[in-house]
Amino acid sequence: MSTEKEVSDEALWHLMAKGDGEAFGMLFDRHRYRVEGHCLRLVASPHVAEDVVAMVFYEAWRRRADVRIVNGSLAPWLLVTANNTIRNHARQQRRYRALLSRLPPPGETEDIAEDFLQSTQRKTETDSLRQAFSKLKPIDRDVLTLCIVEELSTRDAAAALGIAEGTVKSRLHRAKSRLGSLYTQLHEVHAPMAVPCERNAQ
Amino acid sequence: MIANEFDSKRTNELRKQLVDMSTSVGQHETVRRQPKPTFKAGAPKRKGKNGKIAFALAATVAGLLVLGQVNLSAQSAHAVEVLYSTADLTKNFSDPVPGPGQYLQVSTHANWMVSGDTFRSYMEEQMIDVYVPGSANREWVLDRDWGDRKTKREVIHAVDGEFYDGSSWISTEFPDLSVLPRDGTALYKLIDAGYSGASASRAEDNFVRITNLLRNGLVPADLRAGLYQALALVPGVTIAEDQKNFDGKSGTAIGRTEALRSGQREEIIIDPDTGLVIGERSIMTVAAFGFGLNQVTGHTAISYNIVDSAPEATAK
Repeated sequence: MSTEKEVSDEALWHLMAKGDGEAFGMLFDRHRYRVEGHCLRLVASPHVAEDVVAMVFYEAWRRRADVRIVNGSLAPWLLVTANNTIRNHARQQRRYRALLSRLPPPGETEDIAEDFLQSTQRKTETDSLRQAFSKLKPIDRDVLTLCIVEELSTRDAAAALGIAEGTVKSRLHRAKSRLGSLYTQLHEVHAPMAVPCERNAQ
Repeated sequence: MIANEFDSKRTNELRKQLVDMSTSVGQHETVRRQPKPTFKAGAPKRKGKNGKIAFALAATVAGLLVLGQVNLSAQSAHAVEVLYSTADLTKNFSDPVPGPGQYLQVSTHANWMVSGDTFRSYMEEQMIDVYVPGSANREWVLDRDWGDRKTKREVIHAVDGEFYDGSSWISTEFPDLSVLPRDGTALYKLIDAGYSGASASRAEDNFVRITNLLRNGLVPADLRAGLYQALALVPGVTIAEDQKNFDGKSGTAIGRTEALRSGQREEIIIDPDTGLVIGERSIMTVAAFGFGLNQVTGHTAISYNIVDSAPEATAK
């Protein structure tokens, strides 16, 4: 593993393009946790998240000529692709049906979101955030993903998205306030109302 | 952590899929270019072959297919004999050596199957020139395109052929060829010992890793001879004589058909008179996964020339 770390994403990508499948495997090992974590934040079911992760890497393979490696890392491209895959979930699922069907069926485990989000309130908040995020424009989602969730600099985010840094800054500003107001609206709708009053009434 | 909640069986299987997809297709994709004897600036002419473009759907074949004529006249025992006699021939062959200031230009003209948008895969030509300097202190030069010579061409200069991030162009597994044994059995043992569970079978993996060294056309004659002997030790290796490389030059195809990869056959094509590698070919020997019977999914031609100059590096 330590030698693995010394090889850059770019070198692995190049090896993969030369037919070294294990290099792609190493890129998968290196980045899957980030992609999985990101997908779990954005989709409610872990099984869907699993499929999205798979499709993100299938996409990386299919679009290998266009992949951007930013600051030596494939992660930004993968995360933006995860956003796109979630948005175009049905279409991508059709595209990769044959590959997905060859994976073992999803396990019998309970929806981990249920275990993970033990309190109802926390679940509500997460749902609201998810919904708010899904209502943003695609470019705003990508900017938030890279700059806030992944803590990339605006410069690296700009490189990952192929847009000007100034555009990233303005989008980021707008996306934050838009997400904030959407979240507030949605949270008000979903939040369990007047719980303390009911308790008092008992 | 969150990631541990993912089904490990699915994750492992996904990883295997990813490794397999890039091993089986990617190896036909990178390499090189050009049938012309010397480098000329501008886009070289490289059209005019018959039926070189194939379109295939992932699930259903549609359009023209390029078919390979695979007559496996030779059984494995004969293959061993041919490989050993080629090894003897190769040992006595003098590789072209560039003088000081000159380069050995190894040109590959390739036609690979690549996947495009939606389900469509298609054949795409590519040219890759590697210039090996005659003076050890000079940089190697890689002149390649990514499927379009006009818009996707890049020229990279690097010491020791480490064009991408210090990674050796000759071999990623064995970047220093000088340390490798020249004896076929020793080479085979070394390759076999390096098997890490990849590929559809151990024999396929060994075959691919040996031919990965040969397919660049950059290994010296003494090592080539050893590698031919090593190939004779890989189970399932057969030969087909009088096969054409992508530029139509005739040679002997040393290949292996992998049953566990739906009959995909990988071949390295050598010049029977010199033992030089003159190309490679990949053929589907079974109609499966939308591929037609004997459909060629990868085909190259390699030529060797001594030249006096190499192109300037393109800006990054």
